[in-house]
Amino acid sequence: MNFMNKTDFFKKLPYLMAIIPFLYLCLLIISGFYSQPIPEDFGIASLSIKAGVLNAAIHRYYSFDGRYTTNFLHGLTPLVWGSVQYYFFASWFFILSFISGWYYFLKSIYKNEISKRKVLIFSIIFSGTFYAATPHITVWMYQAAGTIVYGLSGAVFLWLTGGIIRLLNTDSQKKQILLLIQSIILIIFIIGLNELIMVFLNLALGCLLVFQIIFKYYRSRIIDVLILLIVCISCSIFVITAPGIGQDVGMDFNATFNFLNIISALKKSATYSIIYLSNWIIITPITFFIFYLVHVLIFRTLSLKTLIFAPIIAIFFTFIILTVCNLTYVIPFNETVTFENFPYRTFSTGLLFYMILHILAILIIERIEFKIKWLNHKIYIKKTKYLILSIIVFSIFFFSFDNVKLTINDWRYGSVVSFSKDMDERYRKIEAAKKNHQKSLIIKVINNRRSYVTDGVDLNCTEDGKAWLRAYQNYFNINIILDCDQVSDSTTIN
Amino acid sequence: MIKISRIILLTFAIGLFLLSIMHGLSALKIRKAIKQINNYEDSNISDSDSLMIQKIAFIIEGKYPKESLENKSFRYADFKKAMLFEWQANMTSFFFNRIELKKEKVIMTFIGYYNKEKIRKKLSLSVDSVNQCTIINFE
Repeated sequence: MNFMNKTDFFKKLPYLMAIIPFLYLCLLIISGFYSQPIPEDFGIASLSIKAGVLNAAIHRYYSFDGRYTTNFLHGLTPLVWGSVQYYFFASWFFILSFISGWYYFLKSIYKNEISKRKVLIFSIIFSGTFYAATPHITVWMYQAAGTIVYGLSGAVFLWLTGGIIRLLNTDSQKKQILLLIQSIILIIFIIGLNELIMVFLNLALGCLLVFQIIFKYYRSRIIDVLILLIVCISCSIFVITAPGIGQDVGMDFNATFNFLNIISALKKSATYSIIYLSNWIIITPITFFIFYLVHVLIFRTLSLKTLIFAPIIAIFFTFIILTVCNLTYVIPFNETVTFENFPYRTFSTGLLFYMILHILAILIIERIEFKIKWLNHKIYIKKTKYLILSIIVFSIFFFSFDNVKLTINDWRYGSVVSFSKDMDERYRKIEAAKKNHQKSLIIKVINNRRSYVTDGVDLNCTEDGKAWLRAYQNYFNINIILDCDQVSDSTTIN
Repeated sequence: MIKISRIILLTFAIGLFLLSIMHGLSALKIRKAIKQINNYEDSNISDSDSLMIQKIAFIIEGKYPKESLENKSFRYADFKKAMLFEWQANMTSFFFNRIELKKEKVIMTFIGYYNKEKIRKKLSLSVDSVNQCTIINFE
């Protein structure tokens, strides 16, 4: 019997590390098959069906928010072009696009240091860990209306970051131009998706340009970064000045622009940032663990300086970014009430910023020589058994994430399938009522809601829940009444 | 060739920037108009706003084919076309047309969301015509 030698075995370790995240991703993809549209999806889809995709997008731009790409993409969901049955394709598309985003980003930063197969393995590890640690998993894969804003923008953001890193590091003139065009297209696309990323991109490109001018790094690319920054600012103006901003919630965006209110908003924003950073960084040490394990599996060494400074730098910059980004949500300058109602969505994007910053911080600090010698000391991981032990610890800790526990529980108690069946039954009855030319239909509230896959607004007997009935009525063109006396299953009347 | 490509991209970026500034300025005017219209009292409504509202009323009540409203094919594009026809007949300046075009969309929004009843009474519109107008919003 041939045993693998130590080097061969070391090369196989990434596969070992990817087992649990991979299984978790598989579970999420299977869950995606059972994902169901929320009433908001129906409302948005019905507008696109009635007015046309482009008209609906223009209308939303002039009456709701400035997210021009999102408004257009809302007209391309399976609900508009197909039917409820094909809705799961959207979930699969978002999950796969996110993994591909990680692949492109990691390939850009590690260049030829690792093989394509290993980059794919690490993409699975990072995607799985992100989904496990994100404070709001639903808007990253299961709700088309929200996932276009968060999940898709996250994936495109990884592509864009990878592209800009390649642009800065490539010597080929032809490639530079192609990467510049790619980055411009992605910036135009992404700015219209999510304002949080818009703020971050402007900050990042602005800082990069100042850095280039003062410290003379990547000096030959100043024009390129300037072009990207101008495009970024221009697209941001289109988003910020959209006439629809604040119209839906009746915000008066000039009302509180005074110094004291901005300071108070800054304080509130910083407090929220600290709370959420501590939630997914201090409580779940696994988010630290993963970066160093991946680094050791690639380079086999790690410096003390990296271990000490990389997390501090990553947390510090994430805190700054989150505070600045959230500032746009706490002063009445926003186009949605996202921060007030769904703060977890904002911090989900923050987690992605943190992960990218942490990886970049490790790579940059590893290349810097510190004056204090002991900080430069490199730890060589000579014994594979320590690594195996670390990977086992990582895998066990993976189950401590709330999202993982909830996913497993949903499958354990069968709520994923039963909810989906009840919803399918609801659609069947609506279709049947339409075929029979019934004037109205009574539907009942489904009470076996899943804990995470449809963690959005569904029909219920509160005022908000009833308000969403209109979305159903518009999409299915039938008068629907919600029966609040009984729950589960549905019956029809004339 | 590479230099020319960069110059083209830089020109594109600057062009986009100028466009966004122009758009931003006109959007600010629209916002101001919305604010005015939203909070208007009979005494302080400006002539241009009044003109816009009259035009909307004209199209809803008079010129627009009634059949289209009844079979709910009253779409945004049709509305825009009708408005454009009106403006082309009356206005000669392209710039003014463009601004007005944006205002037209805003007015639509405004009828959909704000003071619908107030506007209806002011213009003596029938309840049905205003309700039909909201079809182009989210109804």
